[in-house]
Amino acid sequence: MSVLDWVLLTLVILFALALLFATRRYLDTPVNLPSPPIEPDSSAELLTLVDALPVGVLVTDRHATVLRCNAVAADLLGLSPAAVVGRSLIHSLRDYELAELLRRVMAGQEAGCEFNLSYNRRYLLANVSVLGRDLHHFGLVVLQDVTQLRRIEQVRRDFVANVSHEFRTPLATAKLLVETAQAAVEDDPVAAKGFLNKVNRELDSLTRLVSELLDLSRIEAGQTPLQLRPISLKQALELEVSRAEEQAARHGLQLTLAPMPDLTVMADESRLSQVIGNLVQNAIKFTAAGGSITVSAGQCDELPSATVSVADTGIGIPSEDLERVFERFYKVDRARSAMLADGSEQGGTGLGLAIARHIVAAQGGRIWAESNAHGATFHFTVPLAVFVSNPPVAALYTQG
Amino acid sequence: MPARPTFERELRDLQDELLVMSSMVDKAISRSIEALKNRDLGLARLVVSDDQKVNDKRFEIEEKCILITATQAPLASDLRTIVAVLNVITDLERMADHCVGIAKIAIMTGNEPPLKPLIDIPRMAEQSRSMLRRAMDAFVARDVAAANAVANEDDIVDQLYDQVYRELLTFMLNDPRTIDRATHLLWVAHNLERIGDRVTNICERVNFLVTGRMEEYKAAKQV
Repeated sequence: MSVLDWVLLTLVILFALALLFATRRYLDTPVNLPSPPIEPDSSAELLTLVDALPVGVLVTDRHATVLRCNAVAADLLGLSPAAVVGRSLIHSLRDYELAELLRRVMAGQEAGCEFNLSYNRRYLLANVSVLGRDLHHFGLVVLQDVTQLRRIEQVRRDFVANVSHEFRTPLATAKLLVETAQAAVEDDPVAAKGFLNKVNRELDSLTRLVSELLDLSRIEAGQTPLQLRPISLKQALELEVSRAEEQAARHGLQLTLAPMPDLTVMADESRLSQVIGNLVQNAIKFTAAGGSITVSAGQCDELPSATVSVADTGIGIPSEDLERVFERFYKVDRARSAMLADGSEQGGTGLGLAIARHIVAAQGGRIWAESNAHGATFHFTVPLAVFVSNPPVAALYTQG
Repeated sequence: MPARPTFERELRDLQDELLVMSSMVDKAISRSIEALKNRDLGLARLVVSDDQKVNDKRFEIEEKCILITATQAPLASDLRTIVAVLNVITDLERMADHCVGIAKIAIMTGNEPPLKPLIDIPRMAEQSRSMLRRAMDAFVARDVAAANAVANEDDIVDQLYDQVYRELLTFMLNDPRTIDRATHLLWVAHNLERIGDRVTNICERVNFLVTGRMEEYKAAKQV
């Protein structure tokens, strides 16, 4: 919702409530007082309108006691309207600065304004204003859930910060190495060559990062068509596990492929290998020596499709980060993920899971992570070939 | 219509004032840790200066309690409510002082290189905030079971404190140059651990408020 929409919505609410108060002097007007001739059901209609608004509306009296709370406001507060109405604003919102702001606005010491607050792990934008004048004035608090917006802003900020960081580190190293090589080129050509080799490695790392960024960008834009065809899931998993066996052994890990039925799935072979390889590589990175990694697959009823699981006995993922690990550059607990299980620096670009999510979605499946005290498990689904005829490649590819 | 509408309203207002004060403390915990994490000296100074507001609110509530006791002669659960409020505001005021302690460390260490990224300390703060909020919910709802559940969660704060302690000790043993910075972080963790204990005190007051019994959770646990 844009700022203009927000302002218009607030004006509509103000108008509706002003009309309501003008016609009925709100809820506490004695019924025997003469009232102006109005349509018999207009007050009820206006109240219904307030209740049906897509934003939270709280109306308070001048003592900040809530007189009306619509369903959205109650939902945002995690309470029933009955638990809010008749109680003070602080009782429901537990934010003394908002209560104080409402008091100042109602006392005319401050014009209506916006206020950000966090509530029950949600971010709310509260628009505080006053209705009516003199003795018949009411406080109006309009609440909007901006959690998603905040999260997007955070993702954007993280993305810029991460891209800068990921580029800066190899660039700074390469610059330092070139300077050292320049100084050594005449006196010690052998050492200079060694430095240039290191520069080459840093440039490879940068190339890989740029390549993955472009890959992700192309996948997101749907510019790389998938070559979906029936393939043996068992063979694909065996291939990837055999590729990673040596690396796992070097890290002191036991990599196992669990017994599975031979399932034929409809997938792009190279992209499927990319997803499996990425999950196995991640498991190796975040599992300490002596741990184990198990790759398994089975049929599930979803779609119907096959589910592939990669379970490790590593450091696990906090529950609040489970959804976010598929975001670009998102790293759980940077302080811990910056180091590998063997104590060396992490070598990933932070894009692997984001790419995996897009590939899986484009193939018509889904990917998710689970974690407990014993480690993390990544699952993804891929449709079974027998159930997919003429797959809508273009349509599938734009998913996610 | 309540039998004593003025008295009822005064008690309700008193409870609202208590919620205002707990909201002040909640913000103080959140801001002091944010200041420490983001090396935000301005925010740290705000926590220090806002402590006066908490102290003022404590005395304001205390005066109201005395006034209600003197003018309304409360009995039974009403009297227990006032006694409980008097105790809870003392705990809240001390919790705010712990936040000032954290904020002062944030100011002191603001120009030093960070020893390590903060992980468990923010977790301790979040756990304490969650416990405080639910303890106040239990107070408002007069819910002993909820208060007991919150008090049990103090173990989580204590475990995190032990974890932080062990981790910082490792830093100090590995490199004695880190002793100064590690000790500062240890004080922060200790302040948060004490905040958790104060929340437990509030839970004890909820128990007293509803049952009239004065029981200490920790003592009960040891038995």
